[in-house]
Amino acid sequence: MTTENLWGSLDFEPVTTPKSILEKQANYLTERTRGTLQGRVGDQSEGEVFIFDLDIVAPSLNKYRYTVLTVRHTIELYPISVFAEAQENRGVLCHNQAEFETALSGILQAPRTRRVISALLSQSGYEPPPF
Amino acid sequence: MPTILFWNLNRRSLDARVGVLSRQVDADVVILAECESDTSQTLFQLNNDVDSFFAPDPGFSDRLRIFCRFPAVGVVPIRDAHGVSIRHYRPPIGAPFLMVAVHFPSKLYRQDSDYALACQQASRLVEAAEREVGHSRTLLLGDLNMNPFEGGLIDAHGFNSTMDRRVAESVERQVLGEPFKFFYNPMWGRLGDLGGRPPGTYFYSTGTARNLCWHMFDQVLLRPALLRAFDDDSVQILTRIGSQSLLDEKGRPNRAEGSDHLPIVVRLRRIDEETS
Repeated sequence: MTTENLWGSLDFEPVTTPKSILEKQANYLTERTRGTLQGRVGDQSEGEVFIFDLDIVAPSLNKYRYTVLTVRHTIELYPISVFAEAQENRGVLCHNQAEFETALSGILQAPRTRRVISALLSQSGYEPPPF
Repeated sequence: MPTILFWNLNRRSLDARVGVLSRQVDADVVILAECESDTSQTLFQLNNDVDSFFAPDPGFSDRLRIFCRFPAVGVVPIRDAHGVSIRHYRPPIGAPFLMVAVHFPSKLYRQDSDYALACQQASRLVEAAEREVGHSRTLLLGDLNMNPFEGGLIDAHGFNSTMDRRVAESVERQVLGEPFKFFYNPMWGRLGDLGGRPPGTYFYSTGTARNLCWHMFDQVLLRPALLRAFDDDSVQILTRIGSQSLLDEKGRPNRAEGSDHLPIVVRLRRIDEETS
C-alpha cells in the first residue's frame, strides 16, 4: 500500500463564513452604540441547513429583539438565501461573498433598518458621544 | 377576559369598520394584517366612543399592525421577526400571557417547503420567548396562509398542533427522543359549513384539479396552559359588522366592499397562574 499523500494540495484559501460576516456586523453595532443596542447572531441551524439571524437587542427595553435578516445555506456555504423585512421579506440568493456583502449592506443601510435603530436608540435613552 | 381581534384587510381602507368591529366584540387587542392606513387614522376609529383607549404597539412589525388597550406597563414587546410579533401581555385581571401574532407571506410567492420552514423558525421563536418569560400561556393567531391540515401546522418541527384538546393536554410528544410541545388548534372544528357557518376565512377558487375553494388561513392556536381559559365557542369567524354583512350573495367574503379575508376573534376567560 502506498504511503504517498493522495490528497493532493491541502493548502486552501481560508473562506470567511456568512456567520462570521454577520458576527462582525453585529459587533460593529454593539461598539458604535456603546452597548445601548447589541448586535447578536442567533443560530437556528437544522440538520444540513445552516440558519442564522442577525438581531438587534435593546437591553434597556426588556431585551426586545428585532430580527434584521435571516440567512440560510448548506455545508457548501454558497449560494445563500437572505431574507429581510427591509426587502419585504422576499428572499435574495447570493452566489458568493461579494454578492452577500452587497445584499447585507443594502439591508443594513435600508431606511427601514435605520428607522428601527434610531427609534430603539431614542427609546433606550442613548446619547451620542461628543465630537 | 382578554379579547383579541385579528383581520387581514387586504390593503383596503377599512378603518371605520375596524373601529365598529372592535367595539362590537369589545376587543382588548386588535391585530391587522395588510393594513396600509396611517396608524393615527386607525387609532382615531378604534378610540371613538370607548372608555379605555387603544395605544399603538411599541414594537416594530412591518407585516402586522397591533393596537392594545391594556395598561402600558402590561405590554412588553418581546420580539419581531419576519412576520412574527411576540408580545407579553399582563391584563388588568388574571395572569399574563404571551401573544404571538403571525402573518406569513402569500402562497402566490412561496413554495410549501418555505411555509414548513417558516413554521419551524416561528416555533423556535415561540419557545425562546416562553423560556424568557418563564411560562407557556401562549396564544398564537394570525394569517398563516396555510390550512390546519398542512405540514407546517402539524409537523413536530412546525407548530405541532392537534385537533384534539385531550391530546394537546398531554403537553408534548416525543419524536426520535426529542420532546415537542403541542398547540391545540380549534380551527379544525370550524372547517366546513355546518350550522350555516362560513366554511373558512378565505375563498379562492382555482382551475386546478385540487380546489378547496375555502381556506382556513386565519387561525388561532393555544398552548395547553391556556386551555382552561378557552371554551369551545371562544373563537369565532365573524361575518357581520353591525347590521352589515361581510359576505356577498354567494356567502363568500365580499371583497368588493371589504376584505377577502373574514376577521376572527378569540375570547379567553380569566387566565389562571396555575395553568402554566
